Amino acid sequence: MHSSVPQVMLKPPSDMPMYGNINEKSPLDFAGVDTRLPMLVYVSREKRPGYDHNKKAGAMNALVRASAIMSNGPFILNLDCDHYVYNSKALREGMCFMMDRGGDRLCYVQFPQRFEGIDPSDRYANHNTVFFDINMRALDGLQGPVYVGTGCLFRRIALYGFDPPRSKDHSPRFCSCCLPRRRKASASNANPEETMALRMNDFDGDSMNLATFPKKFGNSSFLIDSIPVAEFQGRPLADHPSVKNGRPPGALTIPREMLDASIVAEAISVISCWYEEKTEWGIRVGWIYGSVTEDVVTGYRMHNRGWKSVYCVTQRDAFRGTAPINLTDRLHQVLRWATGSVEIFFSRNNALLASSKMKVCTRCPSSITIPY
Amino acid sequence: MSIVCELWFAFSWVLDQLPKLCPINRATDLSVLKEKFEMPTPNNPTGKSDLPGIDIFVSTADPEKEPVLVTANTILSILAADYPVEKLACYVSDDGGALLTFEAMAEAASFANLWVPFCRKHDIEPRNPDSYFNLKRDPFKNKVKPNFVKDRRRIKREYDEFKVRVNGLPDAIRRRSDAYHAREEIQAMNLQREKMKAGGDEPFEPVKIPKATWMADGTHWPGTWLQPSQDHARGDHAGIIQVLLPSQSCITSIWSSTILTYAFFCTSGYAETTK
Repeated sequence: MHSSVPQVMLKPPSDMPMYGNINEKSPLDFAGVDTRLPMLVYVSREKRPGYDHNKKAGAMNALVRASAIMSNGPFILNLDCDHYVYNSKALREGMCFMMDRGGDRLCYVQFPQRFEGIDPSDRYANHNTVFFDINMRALDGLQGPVYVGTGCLFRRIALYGFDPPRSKDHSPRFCSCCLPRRRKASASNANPEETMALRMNDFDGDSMNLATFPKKFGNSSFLIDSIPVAEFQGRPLADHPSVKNGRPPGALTIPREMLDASIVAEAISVISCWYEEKTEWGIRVGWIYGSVTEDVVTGYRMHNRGWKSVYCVTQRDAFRGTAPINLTDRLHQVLRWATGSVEIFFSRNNALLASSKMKVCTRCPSSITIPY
Repeated sequence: MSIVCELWFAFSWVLDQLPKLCPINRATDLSVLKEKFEMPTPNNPTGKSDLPGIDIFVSTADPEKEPVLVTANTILSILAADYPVEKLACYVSDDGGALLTFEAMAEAASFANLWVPFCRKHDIEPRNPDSYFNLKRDPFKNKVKPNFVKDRRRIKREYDEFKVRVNGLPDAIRRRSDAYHAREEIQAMNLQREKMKAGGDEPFEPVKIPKATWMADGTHWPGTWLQPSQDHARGDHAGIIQVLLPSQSCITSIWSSTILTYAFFCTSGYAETTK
């Protein structure tokens, strides 16, 4: 049982570079080096007995809300605490895909999981080479790789459960024959307002659409106001006529707002344990609750809405982690994956029953986790 | 039964093989990205970055299973990442709500003031101090900046000090909490003694002060007491500890913490406790 603690450890940096000079008391000579640091926030969500906290997925959703209010970056990178950034340019590589032409239809960029500190013979197959080098690359040829829980760069609005832009123009190449047409119609009718939301260039004119937001996202007006902003900032540059749905160049060079007391107060309220009551957090918004492997389900839901994903293997490993070395840990992990995949297969998330927005081929592999 | 199993495996094997017919390789070109988003143009004379912001989430739950030093190193590597500084934000989710993690993050934030500019100046890879200092290859290869040797030695020393501080945090927090607790008890006792002198008819009662984890500025930590419970997802063990606390507090502080650990040990039945 503990209360909400959002603590800003490093304030958001100033807009212009600050170069160190020799006169400072700093022990090293940083002349000509930018000494600013990115914002660092410590968040611990409120916990009380009697509430279901939904483990990691719940913690991630609390972070999504807190970050929407405090910095609202249109992209979210998710790392485990033992995975560090091995290639400092990895963020830029991920952004290459997101900012590419047609990149506005990408929901996430998955980086491979690499480990260090494994014995050379790799007795317990910690590297997972087969999975990460063959299966994931194979999936990339279809709609995209699955989300494996860490090292993944998300588009914020895809996490919010919106449909990708132009989802109606793109009819799937392999329209499933086992599903009746009716189902397709209902699938696209089920969330027309979301699709519209992404097509609207001006969100303010669409008050009907905004009216449904509190029911989905909870009643924080800061959070709701931040959604269209994140959508706009996540678009690729409109510097070429073939880029649809772009943003004008230079739109993001303006400085960010500074934090003030009201923002911090709002952040406290969105990470309290009652905030998710009667909202769609965990059901359709954010990380999905109720599964052993919530990560695969979360990624699958996005694919189901028609988003694509990309598997990005960088020449120098993007992120590295410390692997579970002893056999018990490894077996526990494999068991968790196995139960998760069987559970997915027999749940309503089964890929074979997916909506028509998902390509036929992509459906099969969603069960690929079964061998693990 | 065995046939069913065989069929199941055959089925899953087919599902597994189907997508492998179409593998794909991708490549990125970072120079194009830089050219498009960060070159000075007439509208943007200083070449400020037009890249969108990224929020990085690091999730940790239990400082026992996931050592804080590892988490701190991860944070340092993120803070030093090569991305426009004003577009980057790092969020640490501590699901255990442990003061230990909190203070380790504060230490990491202060060490970052040295580490991050050092990485930028000398183009260090990887930017995780622990793995950087454990690299097998020659650190001085391809380093052209003049005082790299001096800087590296200095940073190495600072990092070793940082490591000692982080590893010493659990003890420091416990000692501080005990000290503050003892001080509070003495204050309350004095208050009661004065009351007795003034009124005199009230019966003497043992002073009861709820034990809490104290932060460095002398306030109570709103999170979990000292270390989070093992079963952090349910969060009820932490509740047990806090319920137990007031009843034990009349005993001297060191004693009570031992008893508490023991009580926790009994109630939760875990083989390893945090003492």
